[in-house]
Amino acid sequence: MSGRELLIEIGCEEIPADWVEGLAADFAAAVSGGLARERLTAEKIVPYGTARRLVVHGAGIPESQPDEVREIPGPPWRVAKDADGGWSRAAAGFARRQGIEEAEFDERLQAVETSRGEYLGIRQVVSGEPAGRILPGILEDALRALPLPKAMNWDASIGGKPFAFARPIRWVVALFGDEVIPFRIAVTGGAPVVAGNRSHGHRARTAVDGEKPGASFSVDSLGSLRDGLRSRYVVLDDEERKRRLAEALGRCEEEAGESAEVGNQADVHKNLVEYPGAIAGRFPDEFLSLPKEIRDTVLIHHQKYFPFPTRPFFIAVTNLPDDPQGRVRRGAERVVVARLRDARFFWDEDRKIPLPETRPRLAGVVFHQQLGSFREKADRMEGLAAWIAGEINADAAAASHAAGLSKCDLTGNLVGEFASLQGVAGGLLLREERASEAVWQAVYDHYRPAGLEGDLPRGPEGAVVALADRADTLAGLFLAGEEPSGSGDPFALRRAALSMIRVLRDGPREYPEHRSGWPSPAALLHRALAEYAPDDQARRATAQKLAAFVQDRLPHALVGAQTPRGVVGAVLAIRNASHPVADTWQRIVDLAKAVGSGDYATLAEASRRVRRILPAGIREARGVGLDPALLTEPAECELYGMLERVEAEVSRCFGETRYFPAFQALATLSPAIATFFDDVLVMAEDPAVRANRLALLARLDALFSQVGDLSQIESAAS
Amino acid sequence: MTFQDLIARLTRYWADQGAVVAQPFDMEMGAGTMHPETFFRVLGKTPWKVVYVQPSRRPADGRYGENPNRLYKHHQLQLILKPAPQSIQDLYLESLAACGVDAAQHDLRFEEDNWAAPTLGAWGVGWQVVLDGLEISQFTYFQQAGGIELAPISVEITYGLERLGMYLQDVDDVYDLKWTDGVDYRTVRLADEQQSSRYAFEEADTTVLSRGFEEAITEGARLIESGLVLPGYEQCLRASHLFNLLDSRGAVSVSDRPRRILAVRGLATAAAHRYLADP
Repeated sequence: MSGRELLIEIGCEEIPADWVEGLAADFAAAVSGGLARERLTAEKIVPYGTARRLVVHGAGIPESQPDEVREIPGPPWRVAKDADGGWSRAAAGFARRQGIEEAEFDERLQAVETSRGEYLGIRQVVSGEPAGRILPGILEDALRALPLPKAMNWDASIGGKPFAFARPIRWVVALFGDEVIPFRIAVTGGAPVVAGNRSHGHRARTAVDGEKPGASFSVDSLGSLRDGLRSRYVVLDDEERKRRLAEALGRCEEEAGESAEVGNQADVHKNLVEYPGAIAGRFPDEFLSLPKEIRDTVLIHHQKYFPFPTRPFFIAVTNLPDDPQGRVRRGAERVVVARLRDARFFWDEDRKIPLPETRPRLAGVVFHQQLGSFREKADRMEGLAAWIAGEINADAAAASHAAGLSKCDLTGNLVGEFASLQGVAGGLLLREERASEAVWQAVYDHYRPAGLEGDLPRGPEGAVVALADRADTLAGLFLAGEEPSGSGDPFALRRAALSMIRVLRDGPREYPEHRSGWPSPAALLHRALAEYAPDDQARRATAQKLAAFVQDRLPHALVGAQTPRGVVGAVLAIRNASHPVADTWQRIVDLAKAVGSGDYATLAEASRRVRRILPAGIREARGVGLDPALLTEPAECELYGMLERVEAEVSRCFGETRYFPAFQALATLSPAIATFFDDVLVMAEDPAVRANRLALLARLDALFSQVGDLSQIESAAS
Repeated sequence: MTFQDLIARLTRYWADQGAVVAQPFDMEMGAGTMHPETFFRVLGKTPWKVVYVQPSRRPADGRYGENPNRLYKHHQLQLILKPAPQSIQDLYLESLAACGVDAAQHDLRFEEDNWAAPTLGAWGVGWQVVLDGLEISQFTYFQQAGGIELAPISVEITYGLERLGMYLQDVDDVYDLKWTDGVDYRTVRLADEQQSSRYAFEEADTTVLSRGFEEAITEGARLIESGLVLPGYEQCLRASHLFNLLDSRGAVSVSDRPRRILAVRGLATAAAHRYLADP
């Protein structure tokens, strides 16, 4: 590999752990892009990142930009020579202006091709700049280009322009080969951060004899940076940190005798620390009787520790390889025990009064100033839940009972302390009180799904309470004039709407015993509004606004990762908030599948073409009056025959709500349509023939319209 | 190390770094940030270094002296350095070492935790400092105060003194903290916790509090308008504390909350602007 190596390390105060990986990659990409733009393309660029450093290593970077040959055009070639074949006055003037002596004319002047024709010109070699002179600018641009979730001011500037960053930068290593890249960040009221060749390791530990922890050390290459960091308790490579963390977790699991519940958190933890270790802490067995949900909230949300399924242990990730004196473990255990003791106190307190008896307390919790308290909300939800449950044939008594109790935990100690346990706490208390599974699970699950993503409630009664909650919130807050505007959505109504749509979309499939009867969003909201207000004009206006609000969310809620463009729009052209969402969703899924497997490009094109050709009145007649006897050309007869068959097939399949075979059948029309447009002149001279052909197309269009607006579909193949 | 030794050592350490040792502000407040030595000094260009203890009242956290970790009133040791020195994290570690915490033997983390005080029109970015799983300090680079963008940037470090003391003394109950030889935290503070909790949760008259809140807002606005920035700001502190009391009595509804927060912020912002115009 020729060329030089580039090594950049931006030494920072702790960058938020979940930014590290993205920032390191973005930084490397920005440096790589900057090099390419300056014609200094690297053979290889690799990012590294930890909580305290963003590192870019480049290899095979040219010493300097390649020389560039530039053509400088002069007068047109036809005036370059005079009558006797010598250089003309125009040519000589141009040459002299370019600093060319007469003796060199023949050697230097030549014809050059331009977009406007042949010109007299010269070729000049511009030598490239040394990379060392260009790199400071590339570095500055790359740092400024980083997309930061939140930038902070730290009194810094580069080249006189203010420079905000993730956290203050404390040192910079910038080496091009063995040359330090001149780069500095000025800091008002302090010393500038000047790029050099010195890095820093762990703040408190070093394995280097006689060196103070945190002291700087010199580096001359990626290898020496990596080795220097390793002996100062920093692991530069992401994969190695991940591996060390996994090993440390494994040792803890061995100690606890069980696998820990790590989930996807290991990836964040490996960036929270630079030298991952872990300790297993233990808490007294007595806390195992505390519901696991409550224990996990303490361990995961408050302490960022990993719990175990059944054992009285937890794992704390540490920024140290060991804990020889057991101080870290003792400290962690003390914090955990104190918090678990608090949690148990709240749990015991909340169990002293049966949950249903706390319901009157909801009168003291304001839902919304104009809409009253949560007690009134719970009353409304009861009625709404009974109705929804009746529609889908779920247990109406259980659903209504659960809805009435669903908000009681808001006045309890547990939710007061751990807000994320709302719903869960109420469900746990009801389970303790031997409520039926349908009831306690419905309360437990009724905040699910939080939006479009996440699990649905376990049972249909939970889904019913969730719908009642979301619909009541949407209806009430719209009545109170709190609809979201622009980016302002303080009551998270957009999320509430998405959650509602999601339950309506997936509910029928999720609960196979309750496939049918699910209301449309408009019907559900209509019923929710009725709990608030009599049917007057204000309510009707709100209902319209709500339907439009839900309608606006449908495209986002009903698009899958693989849905071809235009499919959602095609179906939503004929389906809206007053249609059952699951049915609309089924149409979209099946149409997406059909578009993926059949020739919809021809259909979409035909749909666009038919609409251009058809006068409005004829289109609306939908092909009534078509006279098969007037069809003469083979292509139109063929299309007509096919059309009759496909119409029958589509009609049969739609009747059985089997959309995919209907959409497949539709695609079989494509060859006949293509041939028709190739062979048949629609605008025939004979008015009767012309009218009949238009009627045929109108009938085709009417068939398309049963599916939606096919003209919106973009070909999947292209 | 006794509780008062801890305070003395931290204060000494920062005094040796050139900080002014200020005294607690003689009014109720929820956090050391609200002390005028922080709120006003971070505004404008003049460099400043100050350290002080601020007793901080959080009525909703009162537990009648029965919870080993939670208090109506706790103590913060508050440090402001303006501008923020480049070696600030190292200085902070040294301050812990001065209290006997050897970072090499502990797991010490700076975990992202951004700070915002809507009633002060203030926010900053920084970390909570976590020592073996225990949050012992809040570390913030101020970005805005009183609705004003700051330059230079001040760094604020707030030590939770009870937490740090419990850690150093290895006690599980705050009331077991040794304040000084022969005197524990219980002796010094328990009666205050019991009575203040009862006051906040049971006895405080919400009508009186609410009237006081409105008066403080009006009076504060009048004083700031007339150029008496500091007395005007004191009314802002008063309103803020009365709001917290009302809140602990459950007397602030969801929709009432934004209005009251805006009113307090209005005073804080007005005071900050006036202070800068006429320091």
